[in-house]
Amino acid sequence: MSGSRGGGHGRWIALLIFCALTLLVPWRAAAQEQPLRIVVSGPHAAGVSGNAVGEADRRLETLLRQWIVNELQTHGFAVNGAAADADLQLDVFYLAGATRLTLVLSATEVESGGVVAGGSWTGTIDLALVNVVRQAADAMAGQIRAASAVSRQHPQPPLVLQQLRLRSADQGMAVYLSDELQLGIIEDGVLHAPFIPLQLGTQLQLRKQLDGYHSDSETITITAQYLDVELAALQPQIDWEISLSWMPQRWAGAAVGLRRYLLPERFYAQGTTQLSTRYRFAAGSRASSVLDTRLSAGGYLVALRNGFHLGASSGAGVTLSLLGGEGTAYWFADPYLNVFSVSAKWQFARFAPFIQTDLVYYGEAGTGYLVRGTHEYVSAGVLLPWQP
Amino acid sequence: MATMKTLGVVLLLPLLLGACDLFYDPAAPPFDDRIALMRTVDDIFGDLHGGVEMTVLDNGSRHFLLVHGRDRHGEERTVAFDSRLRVRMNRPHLWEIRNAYVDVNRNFVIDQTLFSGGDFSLLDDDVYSGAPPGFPAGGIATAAGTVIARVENSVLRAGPRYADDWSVSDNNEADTNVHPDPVDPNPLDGFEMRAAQHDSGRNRSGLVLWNSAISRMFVIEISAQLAEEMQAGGHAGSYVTDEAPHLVLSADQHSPLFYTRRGVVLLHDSGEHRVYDIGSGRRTASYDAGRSGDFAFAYSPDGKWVYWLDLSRRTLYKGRTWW
Repeated sequence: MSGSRGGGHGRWIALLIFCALTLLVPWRAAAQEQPLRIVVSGPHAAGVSGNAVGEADRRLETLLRQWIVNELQTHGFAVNGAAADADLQLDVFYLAGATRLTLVLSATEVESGGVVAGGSWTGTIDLALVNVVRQAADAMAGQIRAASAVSRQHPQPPLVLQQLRLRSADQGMAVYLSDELQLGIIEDGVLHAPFIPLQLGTQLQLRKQLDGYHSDSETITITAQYLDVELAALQPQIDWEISLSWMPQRWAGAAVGLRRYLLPERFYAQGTTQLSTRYRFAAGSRASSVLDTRLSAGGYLVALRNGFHLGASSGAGVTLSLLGGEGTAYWFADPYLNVFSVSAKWQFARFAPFIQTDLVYYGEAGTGYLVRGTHEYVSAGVLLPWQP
Repeated sequence: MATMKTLGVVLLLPLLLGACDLFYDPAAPPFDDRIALMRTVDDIFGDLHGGVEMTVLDNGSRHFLLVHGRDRHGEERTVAFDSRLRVRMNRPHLWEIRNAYVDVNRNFVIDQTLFSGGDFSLLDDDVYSGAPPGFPAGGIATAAGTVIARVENSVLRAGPRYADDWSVSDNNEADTNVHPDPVDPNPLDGFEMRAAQHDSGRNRSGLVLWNSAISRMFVIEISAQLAEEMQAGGHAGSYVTDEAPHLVLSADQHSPLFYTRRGVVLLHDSGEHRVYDIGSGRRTASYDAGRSGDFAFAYSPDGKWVYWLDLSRRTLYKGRTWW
């Protein structure tokens, strides 16, 4: 279980490729009256030479081998006779991480060298590993019997995946088969997956990961021996947003803001500027201009991806007012505290509409004229992702 | 047809916007769209939250705003601002600014002090050559002289009458009852004089009386002619409400009232400025100035100007009236 295995994810797969030959090899069923004879090779730690395997790994390999042999015998196979008398060779590979283990099994007809069954199974390294081995053995037994049944009528081995190419526009995206087993990285729009002897019809769950994007999972179905799959694009994490909003209390105007997420889509700092005209519909009323600038910081306490977000923020700002008097104009500057704001937004892929209510306190500071005290404002708008 | 609908929407939208509080900035002070002039009064007044009174004196050619409040040392003083909000008078110990009035010479009298109607300069510290009238009292300028009006024991007394030189031209003093009708014929007593406001343009005064027995405010419009007749004893023993237009309002006894040419403006506790027609008693207009913030208001008798003082910021504004 040492770190010496860490960098060799790809090498075990190369071993598999050498072990798995063409599938166009006729399969002969074992005689009905005699159980199929299977010789087990391994387990081998994927990508690790025999000398590098530690004592702990050897104990694990012994256990794995014993469990696999027992399970196959339970299924009625004759296991571990002489290699020369065997009908099938079962190659066992494993890749052990810190907490999880991936088991790869491949059954090859000895006489023809054709692969008749295979697959990978992942589980935690604890007592539950027994169940993983049992599942693997059950699946292998089923595949071997199915291949045997088919080959009696048709001299063809079962079809398994030969080549898998994953295509994506997300350059550098890592694709994982399990939590720790990396298939590779998208380069030049494509990833050539290593050989995995999966039967056609098998479903494969892939996990996709790329810095600056939301990780995602995708399930593909092995429908052909040579398969090209276009992976769905990852959704980029939002680092910057532009906010456009409207406030009914200052209805003749609008606000624009720039938001920088300190923690993507969670905590942010924002600057907002609002320009509006205040006017009352009455004879003799004079319009006044209001420029409001605010700095705030906040976060989303509830954030469902592609869904509802509930957030809170706080900050400070200044309201500049320009009023036209008779023969002169008056400037006022009212600093204020944005005591508390609550906002709700619904995040879509390319935009997020929101509503917000602000509690604002105007004090006596400054040269202002706005009424001292706490006032409540509401606004509605939309947030748009932006790349500086 | 579509054009008519569009036109209808365009016309309706401002009405909807104007009717809905949601479309008003809650921090905007009242009359912020009508400011003509403003100035700070930081250098004159201290904490104004303890109480401030404002009234406007108009002699037909000039008008001045009187503000009564405490200065930085806590001393009460009265300040007169001219129409450009420049300080023209700043004196302590002038109490009865609500009863300040315009005399026959178009000068102003506050308590016993006489000020020039031109620039509010001091003319006389003790205007009454004889014994001063009991206060509170208001004066009504008539062709024959200045008739002093006051209420004693619920009886409106008109007189004495002062000549141009403030000599008592006639010592006659006539009593006229203040009739509470039509609110309630009884009680007849409980009247106190709260203010006297003079509209020089129409030569009429509005006497504001509070009746503590029935908790109603009375505003009685006295013309110069009626004041002269009352002073001459022409209506002795009769009810002034039978002789003069009047208005009876249900209001708090401390609610400011302003007698203007547009009507009587009552500053209601709700923050509304309500205008009542003194003839019909109907409310003819109202303006919601809101309850947020601390403000004092005063309307000019000619109904053209409104003054307001932000007590927190100690900023004085002058603006055109909202009607």
